[in-house]
Amino acid sequence: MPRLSIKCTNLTYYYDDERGPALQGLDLSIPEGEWTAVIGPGGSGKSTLCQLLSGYLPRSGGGKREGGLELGGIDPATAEIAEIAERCGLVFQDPDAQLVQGTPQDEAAFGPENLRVPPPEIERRVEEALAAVNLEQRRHSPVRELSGGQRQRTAIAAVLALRPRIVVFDDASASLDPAAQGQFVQLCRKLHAEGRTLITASGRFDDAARSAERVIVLAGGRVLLDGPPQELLRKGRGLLAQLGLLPPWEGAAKAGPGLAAGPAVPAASAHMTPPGAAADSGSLLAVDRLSFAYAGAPLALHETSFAMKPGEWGIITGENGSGKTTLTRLLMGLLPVPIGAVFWQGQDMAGWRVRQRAAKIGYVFQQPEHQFVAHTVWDELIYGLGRKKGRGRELDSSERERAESLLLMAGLEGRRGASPYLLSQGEKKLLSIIAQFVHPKSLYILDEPTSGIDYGAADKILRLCREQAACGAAVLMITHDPALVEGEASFMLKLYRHKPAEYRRLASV
Amino acid sequence: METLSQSKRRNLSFTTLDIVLMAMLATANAVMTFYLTYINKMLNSLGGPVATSTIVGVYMVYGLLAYYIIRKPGTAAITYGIGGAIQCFVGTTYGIASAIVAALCYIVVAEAVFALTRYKRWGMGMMMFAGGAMVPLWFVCAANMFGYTAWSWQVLAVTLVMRLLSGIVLCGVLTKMLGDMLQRSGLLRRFAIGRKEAEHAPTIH
Amino acid sequence: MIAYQKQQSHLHRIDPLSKLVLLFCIALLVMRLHSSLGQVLLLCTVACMARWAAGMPWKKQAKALAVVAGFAVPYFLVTLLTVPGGQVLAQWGPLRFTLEALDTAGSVTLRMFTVFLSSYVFMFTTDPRDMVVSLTLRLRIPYRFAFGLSMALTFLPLLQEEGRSISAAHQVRGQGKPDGIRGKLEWGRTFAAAVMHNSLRRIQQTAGAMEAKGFGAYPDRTFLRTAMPVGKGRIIAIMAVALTAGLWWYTQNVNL
Ligand SMILES: Nc1ncnc2c1ncn2[C@@H]1O[C@H](COP(=O)(O)OP(=O)(O)OP(=O)(O)O)[C@@H](O)[C@H]1O
Ligand SMILES: Nc1ncnc2c1ncn2[C@@H]1O[C@H](COP(=O)(O)OP(=O)(O)OP(=O)(O)O)[C@@H](O)[C@H]1O
Ligand SMILES: [Mg+2]
Ligand SMILES: [Mg+2]
Repeated sequence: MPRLSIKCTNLTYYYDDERGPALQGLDLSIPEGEWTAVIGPGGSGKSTLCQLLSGYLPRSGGGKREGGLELGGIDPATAEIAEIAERCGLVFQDPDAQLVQGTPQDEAAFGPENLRVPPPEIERRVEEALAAVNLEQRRHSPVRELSGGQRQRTAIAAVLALRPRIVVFDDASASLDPAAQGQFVQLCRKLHAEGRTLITASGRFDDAARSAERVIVLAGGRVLLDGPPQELLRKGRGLLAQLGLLPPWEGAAKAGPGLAAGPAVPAASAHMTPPGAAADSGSLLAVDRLSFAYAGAPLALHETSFAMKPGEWGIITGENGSGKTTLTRLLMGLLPVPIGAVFWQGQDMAGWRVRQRAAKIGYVFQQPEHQFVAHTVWDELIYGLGRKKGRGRELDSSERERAESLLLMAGLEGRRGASPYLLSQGEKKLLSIIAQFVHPKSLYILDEPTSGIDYGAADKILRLCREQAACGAAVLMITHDPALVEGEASFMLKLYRHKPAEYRRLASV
Repeated sequence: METLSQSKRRNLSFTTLDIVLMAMLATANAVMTFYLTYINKMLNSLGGPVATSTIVGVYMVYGLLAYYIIRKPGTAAITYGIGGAIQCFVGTTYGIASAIVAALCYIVVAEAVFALTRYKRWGMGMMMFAGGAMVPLWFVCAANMFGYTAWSWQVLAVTLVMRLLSGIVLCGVLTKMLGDMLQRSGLLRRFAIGRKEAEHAPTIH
Repeated sequence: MIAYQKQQSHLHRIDPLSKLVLLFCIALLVMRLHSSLGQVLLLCTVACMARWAAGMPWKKQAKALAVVAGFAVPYFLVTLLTVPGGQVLAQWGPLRFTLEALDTAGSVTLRMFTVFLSSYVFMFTTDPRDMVVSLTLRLRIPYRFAFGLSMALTFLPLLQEEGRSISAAHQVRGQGKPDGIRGKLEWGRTFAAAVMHNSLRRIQQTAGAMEAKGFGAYPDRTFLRTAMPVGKGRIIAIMAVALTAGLWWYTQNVNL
């Protein structure tokens, strides 16, 4: 078998728009069997590199590549499809972009089928791949009925079943729950032990990066640091922290709470939600034994209650598929709300239309693409701001100022004319969030705002939340890394298997 | 280095992107047919099959649009093929057999028309001609399948003229307009329609 | 939109291509028979087949046929009034009902019912994925093209979803469908453009992701899903063809 090393020589890549290069003069050589973590802040070019390796760029995504790239003797830009598919498997960052077959089983079988693997062998691989991501039970569910994390697992399984010798994970664990993230690192270890070349990209110096043999830090499309993780942590800690790749609590401390902190199965209901939350008259939003089932499916949310006062900051956590997104979609009226379960200042919200709710509640979707409505970043940001006069919108000076400052904060001021869809994943997320914070609302609901972005950007988001909470707005946030916010939030609700499993008041600041 | 004939062959065989586009257009057609059923019903109760003839052009748009965008021989065969097949599962009020026969009729005519012009002409006139040309063959088949033959020749003639007009305007003209609109969005750069534009661009100024 | 239901009826266990042959036989007979009586018999046969061979309850059949009724009734009237004939049954002023017209109208209307019901039975009993497998393994259509069907079927719910999600996005962002015709039209235009734009993006992504998993790498591929056994289907298809040919000959030469 030929040696499957990866070699970049002066690799430079331009997207189709007339901007500077997204990657610039990369010189890398990765020997076969090495586990390399590529980390860097949002928009630093990680996904671009991953997609170049798999040949997706420039083959399908367009753009212009300069310099050399070699993948065990072939150039992914010009090689035959079979040559690449047999060598290299890429899990894209956005699960929706790669799920094309309908069910996890079909998805996992798709690759091996194309490579003419005999059916009994495919069956074995599918089973193994689905087991590796804990998705056996959802084997035949339509993909569109899966939760965000379950889709990401499906995407991972689909590539595992291909058994490529080079495996590239582009931030593939971003929306996984802590237990699954731990499993993901285990999976990487196993793949590495099997002798596969492994590349994991992420926006943070996370557990995967710590377990890797080598870490490459990208910033602005260039390699900034390159070396074994321990060495980087020793020598480059300052720079890493400055780039936002280290968690804030690691500024000085040796080790923070690992990602897999906390038991996967919480002890059931020592402190359950105070019942009759609706009776609490001072509350802004009260949820009282809210249950919901999708058509033809068992309950996706079971008797959940909590209440929020103005200025409060709540966290919702829970494993993938436990009903978090369902809960917030209900609050927003995107799913039909039963009568007598959700109250706004004591008033039943059941009959409210989405638009009515939108006047009071700002909502950020789990998948940022789902909420884009405009063709440019700036239009996206100011959508709905100002009064419509004819076709043009006129912002008053304070609105404009706020929009500008938010844009600056998100680091998107240079991209105001770009299409929101052509941003990096982290940039998309930031845009979707600031586009809500630009409007004054009484409650902001954020569905996993900090997943897949670097700590620097996460900190900016938290600052926004803090500001709003100080002004009297409430914030409800779904997150898989509560460690980031626990210090400031007022309560945490944990869902387990579609039920509230734990409700904890936190010492708010 | 690949030779000219190699690159030409590569240009003429269908890429995955082409096939996905055709599938998407066929799907859009299926969805549209599904919702057009209501309009069709309304027209039908106003003026029977003669009135429904006014919109037959819309049902052919997807294949012609695919041809207009992809411009490779065989495009209509695959697009209408997928379109006909998917109607076996989504259903039309006229039945699966008619969906398949209609698709076959469109394939024969569209492939012939573009082959005759050697895939070189894509102007408005050509598209109108193609839209109109696809009508008669299917009309003859449909008349036999649904028993229109029982009508008097005047009614048949009126229906045919309606269908021809519908084919020319609602299929030909609409396809051209839709295609040009999509082309302006800049997302078709990787198809023939987008490349043509790029080739001409330097000569414009 | 997709009518397929997983069940264990006889027709569910027959391969899609044989069923298509059966379907075309029915379509041919429908074309061939010109009298109302013949059509009634045919419709009854198809209905019985739907009930006992496909396990489709009567109620479901009735519901399906009600969909076509909206077409069939006006169609019936138009034919009744336009077809020339000799035997006058009733006459009010210029309106003349002839026996021939009634017979033809009945036959063309029943035709629609038969055609629709038989198609519905096919949809009801056929898993689309089996069709893709049959097309490639039996008809030897290159799998990349046959997969167009499979992709189209995945896009189907996706397009609807896409529409719903774009609409949700606008509402969440504080602008739902506005009131007033002009506002609605403008909104519809934006909406359609957004759906189109997103679909085009998805086409690129899907194609790229499929190639990344080796789609199109070789001229053929394997299938995890095994092709349905064709033994029984082939017998039924041959019988259907023979029966159709026989009936055709009979109606042509013996009983016109
Ligand atoms: N399709 C595209 N067209 C144009 N520019 C793009 C496109 N995708 C990404 N970019 C830009 O290229 C740069 C690098 O993007 P890339 O997606 O590689 O970043 P990333 O490191 O993966 O970031 P993240 O952590 O947010 O995923 C960014 O500035 C981004 O805005
Ligand atoms: N449209 C749908 N139809 C049917 N079931 C659905 C649908 N959407 C979600 N579900 C199911 O409901 C359950 C809860 O999903 P939800 O999206 O709320 O999970 P989540 O807690 O947000 O998970 P994640 O952390 O992965 O985003 C899951 O089991 C999921 O499969
Ligand atoms: Mg990325
Ligand atoms: Mg979720």
